[in-house]
Amino acid sequence: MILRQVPEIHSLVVPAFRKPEQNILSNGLVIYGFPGIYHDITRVDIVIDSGRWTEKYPLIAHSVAKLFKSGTNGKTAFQMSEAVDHLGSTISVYTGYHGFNITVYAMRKNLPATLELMFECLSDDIFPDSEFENYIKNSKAKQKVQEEKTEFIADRAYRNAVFGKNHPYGYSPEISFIDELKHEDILSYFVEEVKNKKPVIYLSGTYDDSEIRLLESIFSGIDYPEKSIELFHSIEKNGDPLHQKINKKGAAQSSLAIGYRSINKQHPDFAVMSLTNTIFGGYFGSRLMSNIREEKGYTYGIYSSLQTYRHDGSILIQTETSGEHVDACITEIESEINKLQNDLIGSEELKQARNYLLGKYLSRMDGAFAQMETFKNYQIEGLDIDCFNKFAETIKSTTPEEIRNMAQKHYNFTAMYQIIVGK
Amino acid sequence: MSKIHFERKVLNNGLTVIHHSDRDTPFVVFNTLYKVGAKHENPSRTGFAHLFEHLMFEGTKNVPYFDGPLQEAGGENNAFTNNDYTNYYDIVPALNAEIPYWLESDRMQHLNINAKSLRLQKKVVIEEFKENYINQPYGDIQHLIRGMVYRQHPYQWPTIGKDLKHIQDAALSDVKDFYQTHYCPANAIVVIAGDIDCDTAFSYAEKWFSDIPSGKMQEVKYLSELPQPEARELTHYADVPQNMIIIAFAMPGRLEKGYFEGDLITDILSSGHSSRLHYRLVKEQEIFSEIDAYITGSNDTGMFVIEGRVNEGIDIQHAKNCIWGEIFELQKNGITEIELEKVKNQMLTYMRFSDASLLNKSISLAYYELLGDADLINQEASQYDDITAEDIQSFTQKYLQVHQSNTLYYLSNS
Repeated sequence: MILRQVPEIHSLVVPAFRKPEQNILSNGLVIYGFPGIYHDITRVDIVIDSGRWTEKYPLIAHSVAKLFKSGTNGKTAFQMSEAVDHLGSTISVYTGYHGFNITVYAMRKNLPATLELMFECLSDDIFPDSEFENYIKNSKAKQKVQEEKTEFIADRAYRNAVFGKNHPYGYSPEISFIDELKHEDILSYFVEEVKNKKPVIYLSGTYDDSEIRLLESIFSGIDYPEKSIELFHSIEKNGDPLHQKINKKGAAQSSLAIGYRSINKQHPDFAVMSLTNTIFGGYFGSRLMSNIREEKGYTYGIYSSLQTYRHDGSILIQTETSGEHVDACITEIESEINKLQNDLIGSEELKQARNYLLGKYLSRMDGAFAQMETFKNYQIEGLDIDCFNKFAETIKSTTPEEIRNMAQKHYNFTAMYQIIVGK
Repeated sequence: MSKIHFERKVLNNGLTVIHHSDRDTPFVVFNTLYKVGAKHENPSRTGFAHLFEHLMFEGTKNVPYFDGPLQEAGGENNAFTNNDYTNYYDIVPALNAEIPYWLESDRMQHLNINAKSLRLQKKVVIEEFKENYINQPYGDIQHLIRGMVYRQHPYQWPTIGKDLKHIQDAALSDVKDFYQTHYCPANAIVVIAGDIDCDTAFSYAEKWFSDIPSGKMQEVKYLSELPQPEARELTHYADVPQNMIIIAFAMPGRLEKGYFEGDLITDILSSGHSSRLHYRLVKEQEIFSEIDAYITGSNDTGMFVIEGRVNEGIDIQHAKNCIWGEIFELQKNGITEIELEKVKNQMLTYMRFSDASLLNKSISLAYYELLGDADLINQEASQYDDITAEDIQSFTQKYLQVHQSNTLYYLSNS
């Protein structure tokens, strides 16, 4: 028999976020660098401050992202894709709420050729008619499949209710939005909000000065206008009822989306609130999971998340459950909120949630790619990376009383929207 | 490509322990692979290996709540089951590296098996089954297509199980037997990777695992699929917006000649916008709104699958003929050197990128050890690189014939 003691669990040490290297090109573009050796893989992220927030109609920014490699004056869509694919590189483009992101992955030796192709798209995209039409047709087909998914419908109804169905944070794709997309709007968004707007560049993985010189040679010839004034979107009070039941014929389960408008990362309560929400429904050991999955078996998963944006935020509790458990799930969610508001959390449970969350902070700086991603996302959300360190510090010392206060202040169950989609 | 270095040690009770050092991360991954998957199931109790995976989180004699200490250690854990094996992983900050040894050794021998947790996890798995397979449009494709391709081999059901009823029927005695038979040192592979040195990794392994009774390694042989004499077809109707066509073929298993060829062909057909099926049938001819080709990558005879969502107004037989047109073209004229170079480059970048993740590396090391030797991880790149255009063409002639095909017409009710 080997004598063994249960190993001691050490409290986590989260070091301060490593500040990136910073280079400024001759035309003023900023490059943030995160060096790390990864088998000679280099990643470049070009982020433009536009995204959903600056589009005139829903899905314009998304469509520009999807059609980014659809052809230039010099290359058809096929030739462009073939050239990128042949290098074994990827150029992926997506739009967030505030950032229009172009991400390039390449083996280091292929980075110059890949960046040249990316820049050809960025400076010379023409969006051919045939590509646009093909895109519309296939998007509609995809959207029809989405319309069959109860969780998609629930999430959309929830966003619509909280922010309004035309607000950048409030809409989700609809067939009618796709029908209304106009070719000229795509083109003008591209010119005004992507091509001619000053980007920020994030460089990560394997690189040295030669990659900085490469970026200089590609980007320095352009004079970008200074930052424009940020738009303002107001939230439409569309009077959606607080409780909605949407019928979906033949659904084997119902999808629930419960929540309302809440704070974002800029709010002074955010750090404590994020720990409170972790305890409530943010991880496998949360109250919602322990009760509704692990005790009752009503669902495969239930989560509460804080959805934070540069200018706003919301709390969303969501799950899928068989129709007969819907009411019981809602009752249990409410009772878990009540407990969080009335009872002080025990020290073991608090320690567990806190360390879990600090582990998450640690993993957000695990390696150059993760560091870059975290830093970039903080910038897009309008935050300095110092906030990251402050959040981790605050979480370390949060008390049971603070958790209870947060729950009382930010979880008002009767004011929350309740969306149920199912039979 | 830089080599992935590792050390291997087999404990006296037969447990294989592999260590890989990676000092660029503050984490340690503890990965445990058990050599049991859906293919080991009783045909009237399908979905059992996966249901059992859920029960592994229900606590042990010494640790009633398994996730608790791990979360308290700032760690995370999860598991997955496939047709060949079941894999559990724990990721912890390096200063808590010993915690998963304690937890995993405990649940290798002292799992708390009781009627209450079985009853509960059956309910959870039934909700999972509904969420991912019944309540999703096209969610039962794997059920249908596996049933067509496999007549002998237990790959004929997916890991979630053939039927909800099989999960409802699982009995406590089944759980006990399964645990006894499959969850033991001789039937497991442990990988410890990350910010931990080899001596520490192995001495912790001795300390926590060496006194667990060995158990027996389970060598189970299955009936191989007989060569398919003629084409099979099935038509299925469902409430979906679009018709879909799925064509599947049996192909070589993971260690057989032809496996890597099959993988590269699916890339030639559908990886990236310049791939054949995507460019010709989605963009040029507008037959499909989406099309995909993939392999299932299983240890024994695998599946090579092409599936596409057919555009409105296009005849389903015409859509099928268009796919065959592309297959015949491959059989007759093969591929160009440029195409071959393209998919190899894509594969190489993908593999390098995937190796940047500590968790991916750990799971791969365990998986290759299951296949026979963890060092296969270092040979994969050259196995792709050695493939010639002729190899590709002869694969299509050997495995993608009409009489070897299984066609599923998945049609919209409306």
